[in-house]
Amino acid sequence: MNEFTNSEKCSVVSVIVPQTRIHHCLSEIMANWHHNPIQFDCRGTLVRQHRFQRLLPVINPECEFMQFLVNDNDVEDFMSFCTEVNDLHLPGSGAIFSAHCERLITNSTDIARSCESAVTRINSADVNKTYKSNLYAIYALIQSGRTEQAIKAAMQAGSHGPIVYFVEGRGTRDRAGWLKITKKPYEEVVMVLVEDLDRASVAEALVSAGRVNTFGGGVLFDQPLGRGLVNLPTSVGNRSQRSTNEQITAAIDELMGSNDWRNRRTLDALITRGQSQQADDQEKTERVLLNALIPRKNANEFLEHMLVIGVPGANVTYCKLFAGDDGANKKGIEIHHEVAQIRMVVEKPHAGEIEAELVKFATEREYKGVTLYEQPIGEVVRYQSKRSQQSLRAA
Amino acid sequence: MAKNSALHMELSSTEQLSILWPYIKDNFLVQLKSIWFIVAYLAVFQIFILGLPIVYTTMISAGILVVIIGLMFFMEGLRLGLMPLGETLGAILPRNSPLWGVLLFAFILGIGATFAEPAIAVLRSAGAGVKAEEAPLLYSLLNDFSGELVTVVGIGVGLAVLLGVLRFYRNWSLKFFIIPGVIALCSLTLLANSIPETRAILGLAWDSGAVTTGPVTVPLVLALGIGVCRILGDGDTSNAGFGIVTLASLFPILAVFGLGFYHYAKQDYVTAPNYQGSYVAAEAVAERSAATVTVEKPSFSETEFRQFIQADGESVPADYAISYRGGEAQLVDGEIVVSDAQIVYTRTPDPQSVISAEEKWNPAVKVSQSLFEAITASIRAIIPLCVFLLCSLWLILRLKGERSQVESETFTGIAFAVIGMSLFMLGLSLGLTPLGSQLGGNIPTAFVSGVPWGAEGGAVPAKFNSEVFGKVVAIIFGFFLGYGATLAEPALNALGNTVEKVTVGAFKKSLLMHSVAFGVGLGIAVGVAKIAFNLPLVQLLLPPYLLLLVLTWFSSEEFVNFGWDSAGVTTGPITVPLVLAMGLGVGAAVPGVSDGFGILALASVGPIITVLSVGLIVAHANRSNA
Repeated sequence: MNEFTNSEKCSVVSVIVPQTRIHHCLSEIMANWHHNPIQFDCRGTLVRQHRFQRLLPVINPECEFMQFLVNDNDVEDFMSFCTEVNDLHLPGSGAIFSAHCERLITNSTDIARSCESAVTRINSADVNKTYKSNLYAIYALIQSGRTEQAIKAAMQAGSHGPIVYFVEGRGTRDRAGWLKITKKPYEEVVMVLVEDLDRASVAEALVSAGRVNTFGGGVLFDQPLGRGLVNLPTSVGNRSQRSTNEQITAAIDELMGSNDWRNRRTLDALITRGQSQQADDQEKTERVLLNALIPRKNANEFLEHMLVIGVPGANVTYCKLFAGDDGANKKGIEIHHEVAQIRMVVEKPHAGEIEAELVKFATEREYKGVTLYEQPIGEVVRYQSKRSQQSLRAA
Repeated sequence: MAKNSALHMELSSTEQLSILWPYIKDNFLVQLKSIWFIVAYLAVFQIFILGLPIVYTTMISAGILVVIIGLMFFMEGLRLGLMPLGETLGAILPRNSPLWGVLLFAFILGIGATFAEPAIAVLRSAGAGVKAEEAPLLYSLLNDFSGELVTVVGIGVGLAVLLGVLRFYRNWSLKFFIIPGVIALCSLTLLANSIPETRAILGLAWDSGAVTTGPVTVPLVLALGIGVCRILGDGDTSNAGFGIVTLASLFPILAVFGLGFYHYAKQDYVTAPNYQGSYVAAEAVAERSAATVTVEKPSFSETEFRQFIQADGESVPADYAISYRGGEAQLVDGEIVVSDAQIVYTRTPDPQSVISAEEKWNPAVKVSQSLFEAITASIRAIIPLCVFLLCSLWLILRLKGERSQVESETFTGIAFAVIGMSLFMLGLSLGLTPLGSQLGGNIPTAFVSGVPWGAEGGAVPAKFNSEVFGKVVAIIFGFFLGYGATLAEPALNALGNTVEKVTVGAFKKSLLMHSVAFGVGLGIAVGVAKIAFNLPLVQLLLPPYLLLLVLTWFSSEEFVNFGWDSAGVTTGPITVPLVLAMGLGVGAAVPGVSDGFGILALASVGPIITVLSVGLIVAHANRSNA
């Protein structure tokens, strides 16, 4: 049994690539770096621009979402390596971004290794200049019926085609005994990468169209990113029209010197904005995003314990962990490790307690390969009744 | 699993209700949405187009309500119980068991699933009108060798599941199974078609492929595949877990052909030299005549005639037509005058008198008995499989010393599935099947009485035109029947949910459902045409399958998996009785048609073609414009 080790100098690098590219990407990264990715499926968003094309059914592209825990000193090199391998600087190729972790605790030797040891490599500096450093990632957990409207609204507010993935929600209904069966099988998370200028308008569009601030509506938060590059495919347009909508929008932004021209709020949006501001007012306490990685077979007990110690709710994504030893398990048969990525938004003062409690629990049960990390987040929007606030404090 | 008491919140009954109510409402609406089209369509067609009232309205309405509630439970049962069980097992197997163990498990699962699904009953009812004299080999297979038939189909499905799982280990493309498989099937079909005795088993063989995969097997096998693929294979997961259903539809066809040829070579079927069984000729004939539509020629009675004479020709019963016979026509002052003609009053048939709408409930249907039958059937279909899965799970974990991962929801889910399936089958026998068979039987009768369609009794001029018209109406009816019934099919709904979940919503359930339903509609329309015009099955089956070879070759792996799998699930408990009722009804009105086989096989080809076409069109649009 390994001891838990701490690390302060770590970042999460996320890479989104089309499904067809993942083989190449994984084999290159695994051959050159010792970072073990976790990977899950997501879908992109495609919009057809031509009227006649709208008659055709749209099948959104499937993408692969990969996350790597990387030492801060390695981040630049690693990102340029990934960018080169996946040609991420080309339009429609995908996205890459990094986000800093405030604190990381792990008892997995692999993760500790990839967080601690920096590998100095020959820097390919030519790609570096293309990264943006003013990006935010907005995550919105939205009820599945409302996702389409939310996506449309976000795109009208100036975002690229959002990335959507499924999560399993944990929370109130798990406490309700046999009524647990009424839980929805999955909920959808809409993720958009925006520049700081668009941040407010896109978040607002998602909140109002996805009705995030209503009872049981979901939650939205944004996360400041270190640096990133977004080239996600968004539209199926005319063959001759090579530039994407975002490129055009960005060009106009530059010409106008601001993005005020995009602000065409309807009365409806104004009304809901008032509401969401109210919701914001309630959120005085600073919050953090607490992530946990745990082998899937232990996830259920772990989640139950989390709810017992007073975490209001969490969402779970089941991922594959590529540990490099996949082929070695059985004769030539690739057998993957499965991990659950548990994410919860908690109040910053409580985060430390919860972490300590969870580490204690994992040690007691002798779980292997548990990792906990904290990430700073910005604004949080969700429905808050007086009662739930009270119960939170009580817990 | 140890229950954590600290986790539970005390909820008042109002709070419980407030959680439960939206859940019930949503699920009810989902099922209502899937079933309303077929119900409304059947009712509207019967009342407005055929102009007939619906008999047993109360019973049918009650039945449909029960179907919706049953589907509600069943789908939730699949989601909570059967599918997680299959997936957990699939994910545990490759990690904890050697390859041979996994393959053995897959084989047994396939065989067990076949015995659980009441497929053979369907095949028998499709062959209800088979005469031993006309199709001796087919008759023998369905009666003398029915045990062998089930066994070979079971072995076929077992091999299919085995190979399907092995495919996940080896990352083989499904195309490499489909293309040789289809080529083999086509050549066997041609071979069988060239021998008169085996020609009759074509329909049986192809249909057996379509019926083996039912509402319990499909979700279970899908979940198993997804579980296995969670652990195995590369990162390319979009089609992971699919394909077993396809193989389970192809292999039984090969197996039935094999059995047919074996008995042909052995010459031990009815009327052949080595025949051993006991065959009673009268039985089959009696069944046949029961299915035939008899049309009585309407006539005036003696009393009506006397009344007519007494009233001096003033009082004629309401429903009559006047025509004249003979006479000499002359042109007088620009008018044609027929002299010395006989005026003939003929009685026209009154549709109202054929069926009385007064009956609200069919006295022959005993609810308690149907319920009992439904419960036994659903327990037989679900419980043994679940016990097998749970035992395997327990055994594997026991051997590895790990703790059980079965949650209490799984058992709730299994109970839901049993309740749901019982109600669903009860509802089908009370509601949808009587409605469907009424209409299926009415389709030819209506045209016989109004428009004489393939019937001996009618004597209206311009017969040829109206006959074709009547058949065309029946074909159009078949299309929408297939379309609506497919949308309500539980196995397809489960497949749609799975596809949507596996592709993270990229491939929408509705898109899959509608393309499949459209394809099934087309297939059934062709099937009705086959029976109505008595076309040979070979000429209808081979060209689409050859087209499929081309489409499959060019399609992406993902669409090949989804398309072929959906073909396997289209024929389930809703489609089959409706389609068979119609097929047998139409078949009985057309002289020379002996069985209702073939429609189901055609209904399986259609969706593959449509799904693959949609895939190619979308891919083309994305590629050329991106």
